[in-house]
Amino acid sequence: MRWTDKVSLRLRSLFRKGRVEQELSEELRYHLERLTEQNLAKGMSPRDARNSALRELGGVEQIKEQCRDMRRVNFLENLIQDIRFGFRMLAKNPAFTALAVFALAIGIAVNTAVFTAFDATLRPIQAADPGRVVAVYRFAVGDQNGGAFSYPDFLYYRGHNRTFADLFAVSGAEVALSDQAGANGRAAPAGGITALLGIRFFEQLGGTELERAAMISENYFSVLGIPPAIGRSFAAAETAPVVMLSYNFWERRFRSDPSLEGKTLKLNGKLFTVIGVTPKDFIGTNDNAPAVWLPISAFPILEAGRDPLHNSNDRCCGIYGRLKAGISKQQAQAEMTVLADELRHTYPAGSIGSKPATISVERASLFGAHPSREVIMTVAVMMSAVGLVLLIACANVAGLQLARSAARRKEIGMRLALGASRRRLIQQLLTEASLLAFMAGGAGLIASWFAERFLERSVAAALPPEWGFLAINVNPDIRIFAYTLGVSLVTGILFGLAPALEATNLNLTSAWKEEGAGFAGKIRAQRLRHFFIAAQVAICLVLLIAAGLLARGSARAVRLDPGFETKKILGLDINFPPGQGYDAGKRNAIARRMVERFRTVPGVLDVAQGRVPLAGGLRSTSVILDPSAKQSNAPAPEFYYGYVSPNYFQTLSIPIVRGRAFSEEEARANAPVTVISEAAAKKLWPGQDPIGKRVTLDASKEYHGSDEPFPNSQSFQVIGVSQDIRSGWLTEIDPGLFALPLPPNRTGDVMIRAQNDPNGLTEAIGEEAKAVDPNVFVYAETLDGLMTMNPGFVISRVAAAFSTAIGLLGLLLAAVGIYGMVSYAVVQRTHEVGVRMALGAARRDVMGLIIRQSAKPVAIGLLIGLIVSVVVSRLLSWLLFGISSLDPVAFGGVSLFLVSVALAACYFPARRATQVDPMAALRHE
Amino acid sequence: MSKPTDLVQGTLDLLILKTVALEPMHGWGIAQRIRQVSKVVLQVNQGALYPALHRLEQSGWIKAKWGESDHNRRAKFYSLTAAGRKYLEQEQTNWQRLSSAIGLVLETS
Repeated sequence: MRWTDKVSLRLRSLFRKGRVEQELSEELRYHLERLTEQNLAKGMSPRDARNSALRELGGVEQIKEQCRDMRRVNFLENLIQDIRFGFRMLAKNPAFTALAVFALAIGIAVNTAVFTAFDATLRPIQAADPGRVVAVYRFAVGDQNGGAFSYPDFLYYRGHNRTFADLFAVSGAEVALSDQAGANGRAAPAGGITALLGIRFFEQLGGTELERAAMISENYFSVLGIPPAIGRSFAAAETAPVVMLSYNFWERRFRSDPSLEGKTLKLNGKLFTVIGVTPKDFIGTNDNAPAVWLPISAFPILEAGRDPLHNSNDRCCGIYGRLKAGISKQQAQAEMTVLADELRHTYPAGSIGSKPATISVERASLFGAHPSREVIMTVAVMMSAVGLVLLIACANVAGLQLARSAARRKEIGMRLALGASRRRLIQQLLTEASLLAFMAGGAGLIASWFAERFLERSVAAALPPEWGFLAINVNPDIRIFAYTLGVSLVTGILFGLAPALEATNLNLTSAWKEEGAGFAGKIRAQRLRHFFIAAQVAICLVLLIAAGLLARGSARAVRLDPGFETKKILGLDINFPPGQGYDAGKRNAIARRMVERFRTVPGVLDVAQGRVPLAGGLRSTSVILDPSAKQSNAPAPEFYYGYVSPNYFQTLSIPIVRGRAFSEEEARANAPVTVISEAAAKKLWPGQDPIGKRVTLDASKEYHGSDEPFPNSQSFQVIGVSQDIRSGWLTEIDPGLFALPLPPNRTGDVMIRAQNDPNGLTEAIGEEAKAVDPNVFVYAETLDGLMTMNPGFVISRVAAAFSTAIGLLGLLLAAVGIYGMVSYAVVQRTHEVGVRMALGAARRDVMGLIIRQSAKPVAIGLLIGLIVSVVVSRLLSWLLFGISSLDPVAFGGVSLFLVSVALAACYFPARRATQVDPMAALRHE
Repeated sequence: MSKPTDLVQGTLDLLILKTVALEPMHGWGIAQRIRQVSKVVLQVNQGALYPALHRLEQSGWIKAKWGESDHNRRAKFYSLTAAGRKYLEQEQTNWQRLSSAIGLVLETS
C-alpha cells in the first residue's frame, strides 16, 4: 500500500467518522449473528445462544474502542472531543471555573509582570547584533573615577586598535532648555501612582527647563546600527551646533511636531539645529531615554571653559565598541591593555593617568560589567516571591480539582465501566486542566500587560524630567508570551495530574458503592492539603502584618511633628545653568535680588535662607572642645552644621529654648557665634549650661561642595540652644546640629513662609524668579511635600503598598484554597454526616465537626506566620517612625482579619454539609 | 476481560495474514479457518481479532472491501496487499528460523 492510500485511510477515519463507525458496528454484528447461529445449531435456546455469543466475543464497546485506537487518528479525534467536553464541564461549573481561572491568572500575571520587568532591565543594549557590542573599562589602583577615559585617550584607542570595527564614547550632561522653536509648554504632570502613594516630586518654576542630555561621539548611532526615526544622525564632523531629540522627549515636550526638524532649540542659551529624532524608547547605553543627544564636541559650546576634546585630564567618557567579526572579548582586551600601557607613558609621572591599569572588555548592558549583588538579590527575592504566589495558586486549584473530582467519582466510575481506558480518562482530565490553564494564561497575559502599562505610564509621568524618560518596553514580545504559555502548561499538568491519578485509581465496584479510595491514601492526600493551607496562611499573614506595620508607620510619619512648621513653608532650590559664567558673586547677587522680590509677593510673611530641612545635603564637621589638647588619640566628635539667616528659626517656628538666635548685625559682621541643638548640648556638655562655651569646628576633612563655605578650624561661641528637630531623617531626631550665621556674601536655599496655603504662591514666585533671570530655574516644594519625599517615607509607603497588594492576593488565594479544602471534606463525608444525623446529631454538631477539622491547618499556619512576623518586623523597625515592631494593632488586627476570612471560607461549604438529607446520604449504600 | 489471546505474543498477526493470503475473507471466517486448520488447537480470542484486523489495515498489510457472504449477507472481506505479502514472507521465514531453533534447543539439551 502506498503512503497516499494510508493517508486517505486516515482521513476517511477522521472525516467520515459516521460511516466508519457504522461499518465497525455492522462488522461486529455480523460476527455476533454467525456466532449465535452456530450456538443455535448446537441446540441452545435462542436466548442462551445470543448470551453465549456475547460472552464469547467480549464487550462490544470495548472492542470498538480498541479498534478506534488502532486507527491512530484517535488521538486527534479524542483531543477535539476532550476539548469540547472540557468546555462543557467548565461551563457547567461556572463558579469553579471562574475561581480557578482567577487564582491561576493572578499567579501567571504576577510572574509575567516580573519577568517582563526583569527582561526589560537586564536585556542587552539596543543595537544591531548586540552580542558584539561591548563596554571597555579601565581600572587603576587608587583611581576614584574607575572605568572612565578622557576624550584624547579615546581617540588614541580608536585610532590604534585592530580588534574593533569601531569604538564610540559616551558622556552625559544636564542642559537648560529655554522657550524656543515654538514650544507650547510642558505637559501637566499627571497624578498617577506616586500621587496615589502620597509621594510628590519637585515642581519646576520659571521659564527654563532642565533636561538630560546624552553626550556622544558622532559615530554612536552608526556603530550601534540604529537609524534615526526622523531626519538624520550626526555626521563625522559637524560644522554647526546640531542636536538630536529622543522620540519620547519630542513626543512629550513638542507633541510630535513634525515641522521641528531644521528648527533651532536654545540649550544653555546657545542655538542648536534639530537634525533628527531617535526611535521611540531608544535608550542606547543609558539607563533611561535622555531628552536630547548632542555630540561630545558640543561641550565647549554648552559649558564655557570646558573642553574635554583637548583635555586629557577631563575623564569625561565611557567607551563602547563593536568587535570585528571573529574577534573574542579576550583578544580585544589583550590589545586594549597594550594600548593602555603605551598611553600611560604620555602622562606626567605620578599622575593618575600614569599608573598601571587593567582594561576590561565586557558585554555591554545597562548594569555595567556585572549586575551588582543588590540587583541580583532583588531579582532573586522578587522571582521567588512571585514563584511562591504561582505555587500557592497551583496548590489552590489542585485543591479545587480534588474537591471536584470527588464529586465526579461516579461519573468517572461510569465511564470506566463503559469501556474508557484509564489512560483515556487521565488524558481527558489533563485536557480539562490544561484548558483551564490556557484560559488563565490568556487572562493573566492581558492583565499583566495592563498592569505594566499602567505602572509605566504613571511612573514615567511622575518622574522629574531631568531624570530622563523611563523607556522600559513593556509590550509583550514572543518570548514573554512563550514564557506565560509555558508556565500555564506546566501549571496545567501539575495541578491536573494529581487529581486525575487519584480519580482514576479506583476500582469499578467501589466507585459505585462507597465514596473514597484507600484509607492510607486519603490520609496522605489530606496531610498534603493541610500543609498547603498552613503554608498559605503563614505566608499571607507575614505579608499582611508587614503591610499593616508599614502602612501604620507611614501614616504616622505624615502626622509626625518634625519640630518645625511644615504646612506653610515653601522650600526653593535655585539652580544656575552650568557653564554660563554664573560665578559665586553673580549667583549671590541674583539670589539676593530674588529674595527681595519674593518678600514683596502678597501672602508671603517672611523669607529665610539656609538649608531646607529634609531636602538632604547635610554637612558634618568635627567639633573640638579644647584646641590646645590637639594630640589626643580619641577622634573629635562629629556633628552636622549649616549656615542660616538670622530669621531662620523664627520663619520655621523652631523654638529657641535657651539664649537667643543671631541678630542681623552678627550676620552682617560674620560674627563667630553659633546656635546649637538640644541634642548637641546634651552630648557635649551634659548637665551644664552651654551658653557662652567655645568650640572649634573643622570641616576641612569632610565632604563639601567645591565652592561652598565651611568652617576651617574656626572658633565659635554658643549663644543659643534650639529645640531638637527631625531635619535629616524623618525617622529620627537630628543627632546634633550647629547653626552658623550665613556670611553676607553667601546664599543658601530659600524658604518662604506663607500666610496661608503656600501652594497658591508658586506661580507668583515663579514669575518673580523669571523676572530676575529667565535662565535660572527654580524648584519649589512645601516642607510637607518634602516629608513625603524623604527616603524613609518613600520606602515605607512603596513597601507597604507592595506587601499589601501581594498579601491581599495571597489572602484571596488562601480563602479560595480553604474553601476548596472544606468543600472536598464535605463531599467526602456526606455519607458519614448522613449517618451522624440519622443517629441524632444536630446541625450545629455537624457544622462544628467540619469547621473544627478545617480550622486546624489554619491555626497552625497562623502560629507559624506570627513567629516569622516577629522576626520580619524587627528588620522593618527603622521604617516604623516610632511604632513598636510588635504593634498590637497590626498583629492582632491582621490575625483577626485573616481568621475571619478563613472562617468565612469554611462556613459556606460546612453549611452545605448540614443540608445533607440523612435518608439520601444513607441511600448511597 | 481475560487475556487477549492464548497464542504466542505477536503470532495472531501472522496467522491472520496467512489466512487471508489464500482468499479474501471476513472476520468470522478468519476465526473459523484458524480453528479448523490448527485442528482446534489454536483458539483465537474473538474479541482480540477485530482490533488486530484494524491495526493490520492501518499498517497497509491488508485491505478491506464490503461484499456478499455465503449467506447472502453483507460482510467486510479482508485481502492481502502486495506489501502485506512481502511482509508475510519475511515474517514466515523469521518464524521458521525461530521455531526450528527452539526445536533444536529442546531436542539436544
